[in-house]
Amino acid sequence: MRLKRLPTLIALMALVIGLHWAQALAQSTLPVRVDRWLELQRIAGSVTFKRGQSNQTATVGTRLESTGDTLVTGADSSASLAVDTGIGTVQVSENTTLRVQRLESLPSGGRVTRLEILSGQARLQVRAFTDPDSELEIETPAGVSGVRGTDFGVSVRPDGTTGVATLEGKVLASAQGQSVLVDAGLQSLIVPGEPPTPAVPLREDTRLDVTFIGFVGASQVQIRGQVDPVNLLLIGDQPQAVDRNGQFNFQGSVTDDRPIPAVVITPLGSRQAYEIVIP
Amino acid sequence: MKLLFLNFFNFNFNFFNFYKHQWAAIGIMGGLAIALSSFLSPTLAQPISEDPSRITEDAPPSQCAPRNQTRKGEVIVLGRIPDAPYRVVVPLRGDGTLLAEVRRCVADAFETTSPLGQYIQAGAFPTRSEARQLLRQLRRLDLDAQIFYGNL
Repeated sequence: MRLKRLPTLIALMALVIGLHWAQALAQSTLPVRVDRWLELQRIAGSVTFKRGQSNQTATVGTRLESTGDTLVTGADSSASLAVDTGIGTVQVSENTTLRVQRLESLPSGGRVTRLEILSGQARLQVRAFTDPDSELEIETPAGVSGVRGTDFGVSVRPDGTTGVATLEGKVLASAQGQSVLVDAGLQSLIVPGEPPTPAVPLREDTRLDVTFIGFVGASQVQIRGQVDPVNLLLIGDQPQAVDRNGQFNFQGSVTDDRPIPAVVITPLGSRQAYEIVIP
Repeated sequence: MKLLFLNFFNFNFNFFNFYKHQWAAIGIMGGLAIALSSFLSPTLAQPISEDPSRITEDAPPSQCAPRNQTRKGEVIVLGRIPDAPYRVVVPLRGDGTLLAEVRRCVADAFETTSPLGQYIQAGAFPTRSEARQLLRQLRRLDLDAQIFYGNL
């Protein structure tokens, strides 16, 4: 009699244990979809909000709420976003594309915020997290930067090379399975396919060191020089390729002798505008 | 001379009498030696790690102020400076090291082209006298500097 009921008892026990285990697992890891957003608080110039296939001009109050929601700033434009729980702000520079990857609340109360900067520059000022499960991560084509309350920024060049600079707090820059701690007052560079470079003292150096300016054809102009490797360089509103030593080589056509505009932007958003006049 | 020597001797004598404990005297002398060596060798006093990627890489400190840029409000103008028609230039040789030589004096000198050939613009000035000042500095470095007015 007892032996006949044994398989049933074992099955019931397995079911109870399985249900308990599944419940515990769900409570520990499954996100809860509640009220997470980034809201536009300030806009200058041309800023576009993209959701799915629709594009619209962003306005103050526009919210990025879902995975894939994207904000694009145009030339000479910028935007400021507030993070829902008041944990901080995101300042977005010109020619920048920012996309939401994750905006989640955990049952434990922690908040997971993962944003993607595809190109351009953004600065995050975030207060220290009180919940140990809260996370804020910035992903770029070259790597990921994770923070737990800090003031830091990233610059992302057209090839994905990413400059990371920390003013306060700590940032963990990770790529290719290796991590570098970018402490307050330090900066690092992540070249796609390589681990982050060792952190060096923060420079906030917006210098544009030009070594050649001149015509190389009837209407072709060449500008060569160097910037700090973590910086963004825009010439004629176009982001420029810059090598790991900061060297650049711009060539473009000109139709008149108007000055060529250039801008240098640091990962923390310091900006210096230049006008290059061919001698 | 004798009097001076005696005074010096007495001073040393009193000094060591004042610090009767010989270890105190040794400590003070050691501190002075460390301070002196730090003063003579600033790199020992401030060991700053150099970042190989910084802009000033391989560039020795220049002797002259920037001559090829000016501010127009928030914007920095580079290249042909407005209202600065006197230009100090150095014709380019083929060895590729001339720009570095000129930059020993003018940190923002740059290479450029003209129908007459390639040259380095070392500086642009509103007056001839300012241009001549840079000309003399460059010639002291054995550089073939020349002054041109307007476009080359």
